[in-house]
Amino acid sequence: MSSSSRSGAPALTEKKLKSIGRTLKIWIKEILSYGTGKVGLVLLCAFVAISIVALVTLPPDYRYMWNNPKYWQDYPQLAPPEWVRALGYQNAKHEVTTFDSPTSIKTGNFKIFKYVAYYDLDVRDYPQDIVVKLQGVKVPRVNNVVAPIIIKAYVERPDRVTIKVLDQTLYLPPNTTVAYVTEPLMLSADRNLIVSEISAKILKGAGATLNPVLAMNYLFSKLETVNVTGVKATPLEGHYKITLELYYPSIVKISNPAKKALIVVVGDCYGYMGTDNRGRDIAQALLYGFPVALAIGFITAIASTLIGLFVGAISAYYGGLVDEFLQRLIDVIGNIPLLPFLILLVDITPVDLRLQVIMLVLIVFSWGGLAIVVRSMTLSIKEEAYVEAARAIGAGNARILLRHIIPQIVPYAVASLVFSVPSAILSEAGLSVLGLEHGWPTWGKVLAAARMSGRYDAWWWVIPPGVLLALASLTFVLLGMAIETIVEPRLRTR
Amino acid sequence: MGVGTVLARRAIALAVALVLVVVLTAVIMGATGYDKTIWQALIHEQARAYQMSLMQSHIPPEKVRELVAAYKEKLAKIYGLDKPWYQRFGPLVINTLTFNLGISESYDVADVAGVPYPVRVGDAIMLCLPRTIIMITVAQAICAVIALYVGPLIAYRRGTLIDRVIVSYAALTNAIPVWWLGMLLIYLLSYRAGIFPTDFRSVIAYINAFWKDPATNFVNILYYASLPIITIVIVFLGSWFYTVRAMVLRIVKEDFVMVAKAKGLPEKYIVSKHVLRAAAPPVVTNVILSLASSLGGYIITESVFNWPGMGTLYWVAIRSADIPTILGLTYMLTLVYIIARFILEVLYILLDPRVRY
Repeated sequence: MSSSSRSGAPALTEKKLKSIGRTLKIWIKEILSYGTGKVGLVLLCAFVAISIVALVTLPPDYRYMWNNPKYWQDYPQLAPPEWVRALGYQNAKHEVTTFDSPTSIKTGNFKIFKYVAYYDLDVRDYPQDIVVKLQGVKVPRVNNVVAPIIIKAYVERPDRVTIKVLDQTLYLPPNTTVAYVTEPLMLSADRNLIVSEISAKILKGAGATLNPVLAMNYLFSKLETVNVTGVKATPLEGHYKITLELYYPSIVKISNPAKKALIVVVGDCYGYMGTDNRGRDIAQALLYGFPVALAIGFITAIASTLIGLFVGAISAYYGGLVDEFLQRLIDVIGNIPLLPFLILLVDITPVDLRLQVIMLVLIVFSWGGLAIVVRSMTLSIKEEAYVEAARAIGAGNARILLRHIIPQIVPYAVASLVFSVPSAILSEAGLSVLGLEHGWPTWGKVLAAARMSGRYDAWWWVIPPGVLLALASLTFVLLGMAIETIVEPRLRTR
Repeated sequence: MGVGTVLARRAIALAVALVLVVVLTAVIMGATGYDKTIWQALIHEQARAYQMSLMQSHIPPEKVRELVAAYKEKLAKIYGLDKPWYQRFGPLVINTLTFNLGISESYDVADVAGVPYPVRVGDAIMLCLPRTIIMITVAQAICAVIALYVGPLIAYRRGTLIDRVIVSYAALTNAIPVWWLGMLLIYLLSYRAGIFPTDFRSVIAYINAFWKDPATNFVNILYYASLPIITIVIVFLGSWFYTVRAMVLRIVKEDFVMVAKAKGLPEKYIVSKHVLRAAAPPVVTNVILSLASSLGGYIITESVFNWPGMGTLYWVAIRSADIPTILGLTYMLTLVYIIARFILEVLYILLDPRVRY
């Protein structure tokens, strides 16, 4: 006991930390000795690790990005994950070709910057779109006046027919003062242009009428005229060459017109998890859902556990009127049907505060059960000899409660905390699915969007968020079961 | 403390909770100005209709403006908007508490009830209640029967393979949101396989006209109700197993069971005569509480199935901001729950002679 004679605050906290560390080590060892605990702990570590990755990698304004359709324009809509192609599904691949500088430059009447990309159609399917994205476009100035840029794009098909898919003159705002346009420019293929090009070059003016909505299908298919006015399209597999041309006035001294140019062939599958009906990458939303879910769950569980712990202990320790009042309060709160109340409260709250209100209501209504258990435990601990001894030495009520009673109950409180983590996560998801907006991209919101659109057949949209929700609650149920067996020896099987 | 005092105390707490719920709901809607915006929109609409009719009868514009303003003021007085919110909600709360639930102002509420607009709130609730009972209460009852039969058996075989399987099943289903399983099953069994209906709202016709042709209607209702019931049973059976098992396990360790074992009584006899008798109170608590709270409807699950029960009624009332239905339904839901709680207190004392506070 020589260290205690050095009596100083830092030494004391260090000792305390060491003892907490030792307890934690013993707990983890015990948790790991149960199969359920092992799985639960591994899952929890995975959840925390993924949350950290999500927080580090995702942009801070992601919430607004997610709800902004403009950001998702060059993504395929309602597309399954890329790996379904390996299973033999006929989904055209999604291909992005990025250029830092043009492939070739030609100078004549205009200065023409040329970018060339290639695309392989290897399945019986059509890509959804061709999108050209230009970042940091240089503004051409002739005699201090902003000159227009002409943008053209061509697709050379495997049958050597070249179709113009884009022909647009871009008038930059006349007061553009910076050398670069900072907003990325995004242009989709011109469907009316494609249709007229195809009737002239492939159908050679036959009487067939083409529907501009299906322009992409025509562009990537062998076409046959049926019954004079109809056409039959079958996918034309093979190499496609896509050429993008930027026309600048030849007198400008520019060697690289854009910091970055992207030619995107919007396919029919995307990424690891696919996209939703607005083209949003589901993998991103699910990833960002991890930290949000853990935060909602833990904040709610910790707050309500702390309230339950202290209210229960105080109620039993002081007894009398305090006890009576707190017990009646628990009775009343416990008899209020929570979900209808929660829905009403969330419905009348402004959208920005709804997530906070969900958490607050759950905290206020869910500490009662633990408080009752803690009270009955405190009642018996209160009568123990060591509590009496502490009182005899002259320890105050607060000290006895904090140093002698509450530490005895903490293990039970921890078990209850772990069990109650999923309830807030599931409540949030449920309310989202019901149709209450709260603006955050959570797992529940992804499911809600799937439900609103009625596309239950998009399995990559419906199954993963539900599995994640189930996994999250499974994690805490398993952990809770393991901790419960440690603190309640009667439940042990060994 | 006598049994009477204990029960009286509980009754008071429950009554306070009941009144508090209604008052709180009213305060939430009144103090936030939620009701005011709804009334004002209504007045605005009526005033515009009045203005149109005046313009058509060639009255000078200044006169029209004057008349419309007077009309608006009259309407505001009728709806009580000239008074502070607590004076508006006072009578409303008292009417609700005395079962004078009033008339719903929403077309959607009448639509869920399946009757022409307008509908009395009490009627709407009485129409939706049996539908919730058919879907959720029946499912919970099925769970209870299976769990009470199987639970004690697995508790006696703890540690064996079947015990492990059932505990894992409980952990798994405890984690799955029931509404999500509902979404999956609707897609798989209704849209893909075509076994069950895709539109569950149509069950209204068969339930409302049940007594005209009970046999045919029963079959039809069964067709609509089976998928929701199957979904709920799959998910909730797990936690039912786990609860019953845990309760029985606690009893099995008690001395009197040991004594019975030591006496050499057959296991079946011990289970039925000793263990179940002692395990009954907590198990009954569980049965009654889950049946009572199931009446409140699983709002989200009912909404996923588009099932026209109490949950959907509540959600539709909130969406269309129909104050009488919100208040009335909150009151009835809490009342049912609280009556169940009280029955429970009485049963608890009757069933377990050791509980005497």
